Amino acid sequence: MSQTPGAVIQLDGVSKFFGGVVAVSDVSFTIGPGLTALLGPNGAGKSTVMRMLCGLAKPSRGTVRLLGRDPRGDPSVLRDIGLVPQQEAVPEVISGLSFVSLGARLSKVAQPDVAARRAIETVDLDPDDPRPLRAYSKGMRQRIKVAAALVHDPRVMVLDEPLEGLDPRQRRHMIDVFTSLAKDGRTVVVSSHVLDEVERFGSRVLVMAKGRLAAEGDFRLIRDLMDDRPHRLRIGSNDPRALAAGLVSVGAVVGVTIGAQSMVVDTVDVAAFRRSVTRVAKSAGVHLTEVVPLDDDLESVFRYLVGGR
Amino acid sequence: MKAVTALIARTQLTRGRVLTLLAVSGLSLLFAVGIAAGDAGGSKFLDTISMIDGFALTVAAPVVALVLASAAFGDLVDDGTLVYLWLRPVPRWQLAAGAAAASVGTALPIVVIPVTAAAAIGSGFDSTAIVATAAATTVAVIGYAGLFLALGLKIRRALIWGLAYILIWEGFVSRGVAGAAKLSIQVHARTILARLAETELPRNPSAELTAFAVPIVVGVVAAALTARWLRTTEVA
Repeated sequence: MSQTPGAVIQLDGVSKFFGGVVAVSDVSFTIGPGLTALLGPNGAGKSTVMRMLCGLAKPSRGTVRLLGRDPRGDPSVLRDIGLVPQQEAVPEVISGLSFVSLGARLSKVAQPDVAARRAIETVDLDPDDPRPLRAYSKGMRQRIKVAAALVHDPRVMVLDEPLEGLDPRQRRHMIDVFTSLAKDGRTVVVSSHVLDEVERFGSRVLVMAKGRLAAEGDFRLIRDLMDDRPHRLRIGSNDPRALAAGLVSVGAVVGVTIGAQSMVVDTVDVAAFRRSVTRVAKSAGVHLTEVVPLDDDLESVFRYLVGGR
Repeated sequence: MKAVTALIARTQLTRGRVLTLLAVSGLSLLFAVGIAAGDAGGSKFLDTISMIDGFALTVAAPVVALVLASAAFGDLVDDGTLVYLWLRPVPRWQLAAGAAAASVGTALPIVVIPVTAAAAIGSGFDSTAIVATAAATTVAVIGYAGLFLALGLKIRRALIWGLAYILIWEGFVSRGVAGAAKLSIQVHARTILARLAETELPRNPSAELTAFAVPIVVGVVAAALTARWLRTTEVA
């Protein structure tokens, strides 16, 4: 497999079978520096892909390269990986500082305790908390896992559902941490079900459904490419009926639902619609108050792609 | 490696496990007190050696080693925390060696101290019995710990399979099938006990050097296999 220029992570024709069950089927993609969200419903194969990225699982077919190396065959690449695994479990009997410091030691960090303290503070926990990890709440465990993943300053961070169990304030803080790591040039791959939060990570997504890669790229561009699905917009005006009649007569819409002060229209060509709507409104003497796209957010794109609209 | 050993040892030594295993090994002290208090004349030494053979080497050493060594990686596999060790750039042999050190380091004191104390009490503080018991149980624990360390990583329900191994192979096949004794850790440990105690026990066919070497080689080879399996295993 030739390395794509700029690719930090590269999967080529990767499949994973568990007995007769196909968990991942013929998935290929490349990921470069920055933040990429890996999305998909439960059972889509996200965690299996993430495990293969880190070398925890071997592909049944295809190849995985991380920084040009095989993460299963070349343990040196582990120095460059920070993983937050999906499972909640952490070693129960040791303190947060011991846990993170152990990771730093095993990763040969120069001053492991200093690095561990810094990482724990980064995730907004107290490095001097003496309690064993069994006493930590779910959110605290999640954050200590993030601290352990970033303590050795890896070039690639793989975060499997890192926002699970966090309250809204902690989520915002962790998103800031992840975006900051990405801005520093690291490659950050995040899977999450919390789509409105993922949207704040940025627009680069990989969408998986039923073990396959359903789409990759900027989710707004992905939405634009879905020309088999009409775009839906809310149009506010002082006379929705007159405006609707005008839009239908010029063929700018394929469906209209009229309300008291606004209407929802379906159109196959948003650009042409935007040109038409002002012209029609002007000629009908209608005052436009808003034109709001309703389905170019991540959640709508996600619903379309995984077939559950 | 020290950090790995310390983490695994702390994971292995739950309060419940330590108390239960100490109770198992501590039974030898009860037996020894019974022997010492009995009116067996000059046979207390032989009774003690028989008790060490029949209980310490047959039950205490393999069971304690099984519970602790199979938990070394088994617990981490079961609760999904192996990933935190596996995903560090540490040679796999160091992880296996750290786990083996933790297993031997936790099992040895739980087995050897009470059992050797039992040998001392039962034999009237006979130094031959004490040395023979300490040596035999130490070698047995090293062999079993390596074996059960590998078992704990490789298969689920290692405790059940390990108990089956102890009962069927060590307790039955090695006693009844000619040749199988050479592959039994218990038989080699019994040989050490008999030779050092300068007495006769049934089924102790190997030479003294072989008896020391085989269990230790078994333990080391099993630990090496564990390192190999760590490289190839899929981690949840």
